[in-house]
Amino acid sequence: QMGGQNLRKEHLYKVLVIGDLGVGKTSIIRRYVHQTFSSNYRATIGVDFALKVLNWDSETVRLQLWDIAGQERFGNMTRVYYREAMGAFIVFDVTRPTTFEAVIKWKEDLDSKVMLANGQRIATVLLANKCDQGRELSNNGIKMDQFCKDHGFVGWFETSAKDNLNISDAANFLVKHIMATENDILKSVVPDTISPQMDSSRQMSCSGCFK
Amino acid sequence: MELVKERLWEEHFTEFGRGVHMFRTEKIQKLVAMGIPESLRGELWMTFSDACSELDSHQGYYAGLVQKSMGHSNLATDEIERDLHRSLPDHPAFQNPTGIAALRRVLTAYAHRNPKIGYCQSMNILASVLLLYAKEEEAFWLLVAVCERMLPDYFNRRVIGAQVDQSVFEELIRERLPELAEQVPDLSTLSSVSLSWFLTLFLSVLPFQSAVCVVDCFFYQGIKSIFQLGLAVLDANAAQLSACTDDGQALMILTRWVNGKPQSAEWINLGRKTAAATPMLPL
Repeated sequence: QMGGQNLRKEHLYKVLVIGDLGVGKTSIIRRYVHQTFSSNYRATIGVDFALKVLNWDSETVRLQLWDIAGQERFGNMTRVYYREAMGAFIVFDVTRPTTFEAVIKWKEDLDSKVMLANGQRIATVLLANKCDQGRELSNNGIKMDQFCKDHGFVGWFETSAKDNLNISDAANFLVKHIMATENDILKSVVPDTISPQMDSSRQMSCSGCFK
Repeated sequence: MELVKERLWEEHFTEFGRGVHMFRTEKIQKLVAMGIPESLRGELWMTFSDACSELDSHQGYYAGLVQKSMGHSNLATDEIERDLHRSLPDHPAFQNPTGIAALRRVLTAYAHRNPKIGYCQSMNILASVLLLYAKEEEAFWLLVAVCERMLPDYFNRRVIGAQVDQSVFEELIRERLPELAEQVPDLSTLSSVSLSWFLTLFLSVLPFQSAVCVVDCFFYQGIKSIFQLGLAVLDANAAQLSACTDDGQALMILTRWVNGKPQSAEWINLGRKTAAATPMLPL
C-alpha cells in the first residue's frame, strides 16, 4: 500500500471453523476465500488454514480461518488450535440430524477451552450448511432462534457452499460481533491503564501506588 | 531415469537377493532416497515392511474378512463412506466405482479386524496410495503393517501414538534446531501443524509425486524419515518462523512453502541433507 494508506487500522482475527466430519467446513472456507467449489475436497487432517482480507469501512480486517478436522478422536487436540480465537463458526449438515445433535457438544468443547480477555465466550455463529440439498429450515426459524439463544450463539445462517448462499453474510455478521466484543474489551481495559491525561486533581499518596 | 533406477535395482537384486532374503545394504538407502521406480514400488514396500510374510502366512484371511465385514453399518463404515471420495480426489483411480470399491473394502475389512482402531481419518489417504502400487490384498497387509507395527497406536481412539510423536518432535526441535526453539519458546503450534505430516506421511501436504518418495523412505526407515523431513522443513523456514508474531502466520508460511515445492528431487535432497546432518537420531 502507498503513502497515506498505511495509516489504515488493521485488525487480525482468528476464527475457528468446527463441526462434525463431512459437514462442509473446508468447502465453506474455499468458497469464502477462493470463490470455488468442488464436491470432493480431501478430508482435512489435523488443521488447515486460510486467510481472508476484508475492507471494512476505512479499516482492514484480516480473518485467519482455522479449518479443524471433525473426527471425534481428534477432539483432545483442539485446545492448541482454539487458542486466542476471537470467533467461531460451528457447522452442521442439514441433511444429517446427528451433525446437528453434535453442535451442542462442539459448543461446550469450545466454551470450555477458549474465552476472551474479559472472561466472555467468543462470538459463535451457527451455520446450517448444504441447504441446497432440500431440507428447509426456514419454517423452523423460530425454533432455531430459540436454540441459538439457549446455547449462546450470536446467530445462525442457512448456507450453501455449493450455491454460494449466505456465506459472506455470515462472515460479515461474525466480524461485526467480534469488533463489538473487541471494543467492549478495550473499554473495560481502559481504567487500568496509566495515561498522561489522568485526573490531575487526584492526590497521589505514593508514587508507586495508583489505587 | 526410471529405466536407470530399475537397472540399478535389478543389479542389486542379483547381487544381494530379492524379497525377504534381500540383504539390507548401504546401497539400498541410496537407491530408496532416489525414489523407488514405479514398477518396483509395491514389491519393495511389501519387502521392507515385511507385509509379504503376513500375506503368505494368512492365505485367504483377507477374502474372509471382506466377506464378514461388508454390508454392516456402524460409525466406522459411516465415516469411511463419507471419506471415500475425499481421499485422493484428484487421482483418476479414485474417480470411478472400481477404485472407490477397493478402498471401501480395504478400510472396512481393517476396521473389522481391529476394533481398537476402527477407522481413523488419514487411513483413507494412506490406503489409497497403497492401492495405487499394490494389489488389493497386499494393500490391506501394508495397511496392517503401518497401523500396527510401523506407527503403533497412531490411529487408535485417542490418536495417542501420534500425540506422543508430536512431543518427541518438539524435543527434537529443541535439540536439533536450538536457535529456532529459542525464538519460538512455545513449540506446541509448530508441532500441532506437524500432526498431518505424521498421520499421512506428508501425503496430505506435499505434491503427490514428492509425497510418494517420502513414503518410500518411510517404508525403508520408518518414522525416523518423517522426523527428519519435518525438521528439514522447519530448518528451511527457520528465519521466517522466528519472525512470526502469531500462530496463524507460522501456519501460513509452512503451508505456502510446502505447496510451492513441487519437485520431488528437491525434497529428496532436503531429506538426504538432514539425514546426513542427523545420523545419530536416537530413534
